[in-house]
Amino acid sequence: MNTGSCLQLRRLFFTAVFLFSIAAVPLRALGPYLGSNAPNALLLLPAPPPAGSVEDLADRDAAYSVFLTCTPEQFALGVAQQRLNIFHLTESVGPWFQAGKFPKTEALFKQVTDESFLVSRPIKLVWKRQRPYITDPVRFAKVIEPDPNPTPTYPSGHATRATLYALILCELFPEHRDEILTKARESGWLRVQGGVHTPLDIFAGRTLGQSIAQAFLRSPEFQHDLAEVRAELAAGKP
Amino acid sequence: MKFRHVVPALFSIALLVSAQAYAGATKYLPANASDVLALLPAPPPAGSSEDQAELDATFRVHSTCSPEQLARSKDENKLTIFHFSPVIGPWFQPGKFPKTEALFKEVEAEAKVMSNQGKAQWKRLRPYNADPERFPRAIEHEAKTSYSYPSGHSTRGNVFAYLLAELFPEKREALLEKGRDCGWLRVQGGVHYPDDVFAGRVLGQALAKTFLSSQIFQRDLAEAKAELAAARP
Repeated sequence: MNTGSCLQLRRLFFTAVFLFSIAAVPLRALGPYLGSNAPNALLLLPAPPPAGSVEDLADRDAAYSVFLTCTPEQFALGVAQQRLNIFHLTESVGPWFQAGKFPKTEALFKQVTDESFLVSRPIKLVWKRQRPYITDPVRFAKVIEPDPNPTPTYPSGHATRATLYALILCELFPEHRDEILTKARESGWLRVQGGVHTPLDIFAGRTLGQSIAQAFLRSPEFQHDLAEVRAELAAGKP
Repeated sequence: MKFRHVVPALFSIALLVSAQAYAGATKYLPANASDVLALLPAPPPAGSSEDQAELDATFRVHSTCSPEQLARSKDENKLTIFHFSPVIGPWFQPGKFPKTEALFKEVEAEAKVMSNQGKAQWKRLRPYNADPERFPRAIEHEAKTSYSYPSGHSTRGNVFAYLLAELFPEKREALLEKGRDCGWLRVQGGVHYPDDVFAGRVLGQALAKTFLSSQIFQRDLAEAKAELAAARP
C-alpha cells in the first residue's frame, strides 16, 4: 500500500470517527454526573403506536376524557407547574424548604435538569409523536400550554423530570417518600388533565425518569455532591 | 441443638437449596435477571383518579372492539411464536421445527417468571376483578390473585418479536408491529389496562436484550437458524 492511499484511509477513518461521535452526541449526556452511564432511551422505551392506529386513537380518546373532567383547580395547577421545579413536590417536607435558601441543593437539581434534558429532548425527535391538541384542535380547544409549534409529545418531559426529581428528593427526605412520589405522579397526570399529553406519554416519561434517576444515584460524583446537599439541608432544618 | 430447632433449620436449608437449584435451572437468563423489574414505574394506586381513568379507557376499548378482534384476542390466550406466521410465511408451522420450538418454550418460561414476579410485587387487580359489572365479556376470568401489571402476554409478545427479528431480520418491522399488537389485544379482550401493556413492552424489550447477551442462548439460536434455513422455501 502506498503512502497516499494510507493517508486517505486514515482521513476516512478519522472522518468516520468524527461523524459517529456527532451522531452519538444527542443520545449521550455529557454532564459530569451521567457521563457514559446515561440510559439509552431508544433501547429502554418502546416506540409509541403509529399515528392513526387503533391504539393511538384509543390513547388520544383516553386523553380527551381525562381533559374533559379537568377541574379549574387542576387546570390552574397545571399552568402553575409549567416550569416544574422541586418545590412543587415537597409540600409535605414543610414550609422551611423554600426556593432561594439552599444554593447547593438548587445547583444540584439545576445540573440534574440540564443533564436529563440531554437524554429526554433528543428522544422526542426520534418518534415525532404529535400533541393531542395538535392532531385534534377542536376537542382540545383550551389547553394549559397552547403552543402552535410544540416539541413532540412522547415521552413527556414533565413526567420524566417529576419522577427524576422525586426519586432524588426521596434520598434527601426518606420520611416523606410516599407523599413526594404521589406528588410526582400527579405532576405527570396534570399534563393529561391539561390537554397537552396522552396517558402513554406519561407512562413513558415515568419510565425514563426512573432510569435516569438510577443512573444519577450510581454516579460517585453525584453521591459526593448529594452528601453536601444533605449537610446543607440538615443545617437549615428547623 | 434441641430437636424442636432441628426441623425448622432443616426446612430452611432445604428451601435454600431448592431456591439455589431453581436459580441455577435458568438456562438463559442470569441469576440477577429480575433486576430488570427496576425499570418499571409503579402502576397508579388502586382507586386513584388516574386508576379510574385507566379503567374507563380499558372499558371503552373493550366494549367497542369488533367480534373479530375479540376472537383474535381469545385465540392468543395461548400465545406462541406461530401467531407470528402471518408475518413470517405459511411454511412456519408448529410440529416441524423442534429446536426452534424448544428454544422459544424455554424463553417463554423464563420470561414468565419475570413478569409474574412483577405482578406479585404490585398486586394490581385485573380490570374484570376491579369492576366485574362492566367486564362480563372479558376473554378470561381468572382468580383475583392473577394480577394485571405488567402484562405477561405483552412481555412475551415483545420478547418473541425481538428474538424472531434475529431469525428473520428482513421482517423486523412487521414482527415488532405484531409484538405490539399482542399486547393491545389484551386491552381489547378486557383483561389488561393500557399501562400493563406498556410495562410489558418495556420489560419484553429489556429481556430480549438479556437473552441475546447469553452465550448459551446464542448457541441455541444459531441451531434454530440452521434448522429454519434448511426448511425455508
